[in-house]
Amino acid sequence: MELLPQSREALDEYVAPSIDDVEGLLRVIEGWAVRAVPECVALSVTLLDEDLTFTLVDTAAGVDGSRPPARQAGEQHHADPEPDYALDEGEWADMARERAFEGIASTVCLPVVEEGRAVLNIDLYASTAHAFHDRIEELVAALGAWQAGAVTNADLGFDTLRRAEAAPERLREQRLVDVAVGLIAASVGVTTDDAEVLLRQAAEQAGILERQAASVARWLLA
Amino acid sequence: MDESELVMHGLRAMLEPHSAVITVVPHRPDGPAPLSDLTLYEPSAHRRATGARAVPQRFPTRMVAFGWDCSPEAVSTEMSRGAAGFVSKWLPARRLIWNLLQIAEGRVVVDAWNGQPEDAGRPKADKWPLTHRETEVLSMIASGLANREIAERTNLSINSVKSYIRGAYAKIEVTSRSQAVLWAIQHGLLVSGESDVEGPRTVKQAVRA
Repeated sequence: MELLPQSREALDEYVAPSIDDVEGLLRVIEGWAVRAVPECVALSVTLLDEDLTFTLVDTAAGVDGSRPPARQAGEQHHADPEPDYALDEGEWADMARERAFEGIASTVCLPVVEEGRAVLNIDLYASTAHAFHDRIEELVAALGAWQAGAVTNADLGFDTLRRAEAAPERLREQRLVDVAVGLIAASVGVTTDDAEVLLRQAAEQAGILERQAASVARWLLA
Repeated sequence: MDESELVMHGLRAMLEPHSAVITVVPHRPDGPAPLSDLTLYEPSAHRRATGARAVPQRFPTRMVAFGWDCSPEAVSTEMSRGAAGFVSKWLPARRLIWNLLQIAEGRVVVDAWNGQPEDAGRPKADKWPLTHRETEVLSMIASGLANREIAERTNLSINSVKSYIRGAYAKIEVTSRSQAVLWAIQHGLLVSGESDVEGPRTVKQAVRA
């Protein structure tokens, strides 16, 4: 599998105080996932505290980040109106697959919990419908995930791909805010936590986004 | 360089008995640079030369600030400019030589003793907590540069930049970029007007040269 270009960019910018090598972590997860589920064609890891997603895709298997889903949800609504009765589980799964990302037929999301708190989500994507059947226990054991929290086929639309694509911009905005917070803390003589609150309040009062307020603060204080 | 005759002669006389380990070579700014391991400079001479506002100068490596003003502000200003160390003109010969030998070996030493008696328990020479590279990278972080931009400006790999960031954060005991920015400002690493895409030119030049 290959790192999404946006994930490469985000990894370059992301400095984790606790994890020295996030790409190494992704590769370890990839190794375990592919050994347990050979049909695995993509995986995403989301750092929940930072709300950052990194994605690996197997482009050779037809999963390509540049391709749109096989059928967009909006298109489906116009071309093939949804039935007005409740779907049973099988029909729901069929419908979800119709809307699925090309090359992806099943998914599983495995949360990783530390000290009672979810810190990571590992999303695995496979090319066949039953790739994860009877394999979740093995994956949970290998990846140190929380078995009761495992959810299957909840992301056939590969939403984590969109989140991974947005990661570089999120990090750019965070960098802008972090520098502004440091400048405000130095200028006002408060802690960075208090400066963060001041910046957020200023943005709310001005009716602008926090990053916009951060830009103004940097311009004024730098 | 830029020194009075009194200091030049005084320094030479002071170090003469230790000529086996250290030799003073005079250097005037308008003359050719002599071969030497370290160059001492008087910080206030630079400030006089550049006007009232302390405009950072481009220093080659191994420049050591050698000044009377040992205030924290003076020290942080010179370190942020890329000085290899800061030694006080109040220091006695042996301590000055010891510090200069340490700096010549690549250590960053700040000995800002101001001539006043020291507390018994206080260390004689405070070490600047960061290496040159860490200082350089931290000042770029504070000016808002992305890791990739820092890597390009320093000719370091991304992983090296991240390693220097982690090392600097650990040494100055911060856990976030905003705390690091605050520390950098408090220690003179972000000179007014440098927080833009240009970045901290001085520190970069000092390390690269």
